[in-house]
Amino acid sequence: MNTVFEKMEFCAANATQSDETAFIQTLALLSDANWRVRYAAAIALGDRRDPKAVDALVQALHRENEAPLFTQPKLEGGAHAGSNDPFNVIFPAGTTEETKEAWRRRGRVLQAACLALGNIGTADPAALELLYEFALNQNRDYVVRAAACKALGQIADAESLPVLEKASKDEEWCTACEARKSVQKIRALA
Amino acid sequence: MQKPFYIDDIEALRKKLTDAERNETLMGRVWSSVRRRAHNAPHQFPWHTPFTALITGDPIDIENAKNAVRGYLATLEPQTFGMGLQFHFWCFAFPHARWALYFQWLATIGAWDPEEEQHIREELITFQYVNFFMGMRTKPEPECVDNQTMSLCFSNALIGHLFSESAMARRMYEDGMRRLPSLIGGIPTSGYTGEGSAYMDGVVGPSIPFLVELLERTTGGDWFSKSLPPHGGRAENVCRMIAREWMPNGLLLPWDHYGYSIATHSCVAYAARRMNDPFYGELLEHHANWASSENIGWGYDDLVWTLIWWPEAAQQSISAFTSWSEPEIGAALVSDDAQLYAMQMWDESEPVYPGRSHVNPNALVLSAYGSPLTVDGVPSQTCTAFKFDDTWREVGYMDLGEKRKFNFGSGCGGAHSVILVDQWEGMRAFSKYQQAQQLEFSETEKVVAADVTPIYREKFDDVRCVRRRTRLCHERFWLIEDLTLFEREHQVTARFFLRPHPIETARGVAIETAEGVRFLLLPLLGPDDKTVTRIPGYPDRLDGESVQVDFTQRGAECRWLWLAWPEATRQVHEDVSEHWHTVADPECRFDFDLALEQLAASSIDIPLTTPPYLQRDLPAVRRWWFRRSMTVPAGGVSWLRLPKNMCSLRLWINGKALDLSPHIPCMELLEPEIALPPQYSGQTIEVVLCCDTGYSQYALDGNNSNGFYGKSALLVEQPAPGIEQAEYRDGVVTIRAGGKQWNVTHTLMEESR
Repeated sequence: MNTVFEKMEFCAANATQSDETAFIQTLALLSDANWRVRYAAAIALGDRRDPKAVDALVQALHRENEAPLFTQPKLEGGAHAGSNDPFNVIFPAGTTEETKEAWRRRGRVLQAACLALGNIGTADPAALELLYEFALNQNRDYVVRAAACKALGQIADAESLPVLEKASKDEEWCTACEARKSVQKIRALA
Repeated sequence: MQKPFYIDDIEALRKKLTDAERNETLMGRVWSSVRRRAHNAPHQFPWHTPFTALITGDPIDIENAKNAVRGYLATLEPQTFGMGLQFHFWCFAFPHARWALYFQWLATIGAWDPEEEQHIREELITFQYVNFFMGMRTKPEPECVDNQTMSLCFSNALIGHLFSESAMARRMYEDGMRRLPSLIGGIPTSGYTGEGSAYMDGVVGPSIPFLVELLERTTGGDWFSKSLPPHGGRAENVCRMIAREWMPNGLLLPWDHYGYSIATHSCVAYAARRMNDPFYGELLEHHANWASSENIGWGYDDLVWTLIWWPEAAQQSISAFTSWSEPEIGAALVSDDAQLYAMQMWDESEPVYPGRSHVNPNALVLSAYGSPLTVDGVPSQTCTAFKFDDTWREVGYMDLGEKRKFNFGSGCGGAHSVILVDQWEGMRAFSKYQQAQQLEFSETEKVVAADVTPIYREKFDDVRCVRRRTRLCHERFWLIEDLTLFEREHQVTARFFLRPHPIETARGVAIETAEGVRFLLLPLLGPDDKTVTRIPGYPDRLDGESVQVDFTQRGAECRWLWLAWPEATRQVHEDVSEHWHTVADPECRFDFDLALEQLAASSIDIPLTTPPYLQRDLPAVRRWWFRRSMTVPAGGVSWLRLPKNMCSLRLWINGKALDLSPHIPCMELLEPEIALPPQYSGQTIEVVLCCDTGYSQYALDGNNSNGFYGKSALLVEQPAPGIEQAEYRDGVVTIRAGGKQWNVTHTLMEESR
């Protein structure tokens, strides 16, 4: 397991295995230096639905939150979807590779970790606190807001209702839709 | 050995195409044009290269195709920083899946060395997983049924299937495949998703063959005609609706957003393959625009898939256009000769913020003698109309670091040919409910009526009835009836958006289109009080402007009965499509004199129907010059009709340039008809043309891959006597024109059915 691709494959291949060693390795990969591996690990942990992964996922969310994920300005350069014409983008002076990696991933790891917490379904206070923040924070991409709303519905804690009711008025359709569904689900369970 | 996915028998496909080319059938000519583009200009037409390589097996074609795949891979890294990939990921998912497919096709013919094959495979899977698997998981399941989710789910399912040795691919396959059936089943039984012609024809329709064939190849059974949950949608219904969007004038219905456009082919070709109905083959053989290489699913391979699906069996010739009705969304009335076309629409609009599903309750689309009469669509960037006070919106979720403020008034009632009440132009729904109900449709009587009261009730709680009924009478004219009933008095406006330009008329309103078709809209019942306003910039295509006509009356009960009378004023005198001398101007540097010299030296004699490089092995360049002599008919006015979409057209007659500026706006979608100066009447003239044509799928100068298409002809005047008498009396409409009289019994609509 040397390359990024191999690590990602490992996560996906072992997601639904009962093998404890593989679980521990996947948890470790949630802290990998490469975000693509962390993303694949978060998806795998969500598929595995093991509550023992909750703490690691919460920590991963905290770490992601500290990265400049959503700070990218509009850059010069671009091409049509599907094009194979060569092109370059021009970055602001001083943009580091670390920052570029943050811009590349934006909300991907956040989304995967939120959905993983939802799949696991444990009403962990630390997880809920983060999910509330993600559900409503308009400074994050809607892929994160929608995932947080969906996860809150899967966890189905009645305390989440005020946040979800507010999120159901989100101007973005996917977020509002997931929030409305989660509200209905929690109310139906009450 | 693996087969190229989606192609069951590569040898049979090769034989179909080579036979067609040898026999010079239409399919053969289309294949030749695709092969020429891929072979002679692979950098300009990358989307044609993998298919061409697969069919020809030519090492040069294979290398071109490999370079196209490599070129695509090289864009993935910079694309990551684009607003497009980050916020509109579905647009990137569908083409990514097809480049992955083309990579697989090339692998089946041993095009890659093992190391490069492995590298590309990993790149494609990783990019899909971090971008489009993420994107698919953003779309609520099962609520989200639209072109975006279709693109995302399909791409995950296809790449998952193609690379099933990968665990990530299998994971994507699982979620993508699970959602595919509900994406077909979630489409209403009409086959119309509500997203308008552009997205129906450009994404939803072309997706259907990909989805159906993937489902059938991986799970077995018939996924084409099967009714699927949650709404009972069927793939075949989508194909049928795609074909119904074709109008006899060569354009797609200007339905909801975007307005008139040119049709794609591949979904119709697939329908021709799957359905025992000659209608689809007839569309391809006689009504399609083959110089158009339109974008399907954000990629330029419509012709490739058309050639794959197009059945080689000869179709019997039939009349392609007939009246149709879909009770949930609208109906079309078509004359037996397909010269007159009316569509009345009542498809549901999007509540609160009408996006692509505009507010168009009972709006009409009229076309006569090949010329659109009404307009719909969106305004240009510079258009100042439809910025109503109550239709502003600001969103911050679709771009990098900035909010967008825009006015969505062009999606509301005031931008459509509908009834408005108390001048509420921002008319729209605010919640979801059934907005309309069809009252009547008869294919034989050629009549349609629908009640759209509910969408008025939200704002006007005293409304009792808002209805429109359209009849095609005597295969010659339309009667349109409007009825509004309220408990209290209101000001009622019947708004119509017509093409320019208004012409004099004693009653009603009249226009004459650029194609010389006159149209009179005359109230036989109801007041003729009206305002006529030019709307520059609306729609953003066709003429680039329109005429807004508001007929108004006040009352609790308001009625109009309109005569809608079209009249052609020109007819074809002689087809002059053949025998044009042509030369390429590769660097766009010829002036008239140099071009004339080059033309004199040129031995290339070609029909002026499509760009020369599609017809022969000639360079795929932007600028071309043409020359031909012709004799102008003596007496009266004559016109020269030319193919549509001749970009930046210039024309000289006997060395003198003509001003074509009035024709420029329409040329992209309609064949220009250029009046010949009267001094040439009866003379033999030399016509020289210079035009640009689409020469690259990603041309930086905006000349994309769509070439010009059509026939050239000399036209002469056709008598158009106009209306002598038109009245409604004692339940009978009487019309006299050109020495003929038509009587139509017409019983007015009532509130009770």
